[in-house]
Amino acid sequence: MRDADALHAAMEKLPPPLLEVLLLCDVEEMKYREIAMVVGIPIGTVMSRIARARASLRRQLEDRSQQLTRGTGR
Amino acid sequence: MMDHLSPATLSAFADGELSAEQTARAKEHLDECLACASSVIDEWLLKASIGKEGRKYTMPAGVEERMKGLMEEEALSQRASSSRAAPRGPRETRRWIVVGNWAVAASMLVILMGWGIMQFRARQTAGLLKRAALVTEACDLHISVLAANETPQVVSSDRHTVKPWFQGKLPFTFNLPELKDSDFTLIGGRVAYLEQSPGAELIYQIRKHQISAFIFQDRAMGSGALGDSLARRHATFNVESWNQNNLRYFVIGDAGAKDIQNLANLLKQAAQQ
Repeated sequence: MRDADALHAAMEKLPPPLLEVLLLCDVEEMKYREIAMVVGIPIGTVMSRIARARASLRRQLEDRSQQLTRGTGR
Repeated sequence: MMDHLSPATLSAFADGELSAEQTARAKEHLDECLACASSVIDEWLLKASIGKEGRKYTMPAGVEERMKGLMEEEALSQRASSSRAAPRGPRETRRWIVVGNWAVAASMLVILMGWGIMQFRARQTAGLLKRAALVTEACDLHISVLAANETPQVVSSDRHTVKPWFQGKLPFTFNLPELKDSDFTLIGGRVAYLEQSPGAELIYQIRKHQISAFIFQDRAMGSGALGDSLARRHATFNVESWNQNNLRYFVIGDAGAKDIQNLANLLKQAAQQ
């Protein structure tokens, strides 16, 4: 599985509210203020959702990397 | 104790969403904290990957419409304040911010790498100096014994006499080799000090050459700088040094390198028993 595929798989597992703000921030390059207006949530919620989404992705990618390491270590 | 930046602050910093005051505080912390600086770089890398991979997704219809509305509002407000000759679109402006972020990321990476190389070189230099100092000190001990021409504190060619003599004098014990099939003769021993740590000095003779074998606790004298083993010439003396059973051995003498190595091998075999 390529890195891009792993990231895609991890993004698929994100809850929709987290994925939505993450895409608006990183793909649409919108400011937190704009995201808050578009989604209709407070700016603090945007901030925490983005941090949680990235933390979740990083965790999933690390888990996958550890599984691969264990797999090749056998 | 230094408090690390929270995940939300790291994310907001990477997105350029902190206020001027918060950004200044975060930068001050990042100058001091390698862990957080490396987390920010991770954040930028992940953000870039999401930006690329996320293009495959389509936004829910409602969100798409509200985005269009927002863009139109932005365009209108820009037209109203069209004092600049060629105003940039919001996306274009953001792209410049992203390019700026990448430039900062690249320069931070260069600074981190430079810092790492400097640390590595400093450690290497400190290790070399420590190594040279320990070997010199061990050679000085050997020379001072030869120069003083003093009788060893325990005089015996019997290893079963010499080894028990050190009991209660040293915070460790060691084995001495059987020499009956070799050209070496055990003369005796004494307590020696290296880096303020007590150790055993065993005096051997081969032909007319006197050889000192020193045994110290490896950790007590911080001799990790010497590595596992070392064989070299120092001020025309041949020196062998190695670590075994958490003890640091030095065999030093003006005998040939082969003789020094043979005695070192006998001591190594004895230590394995």
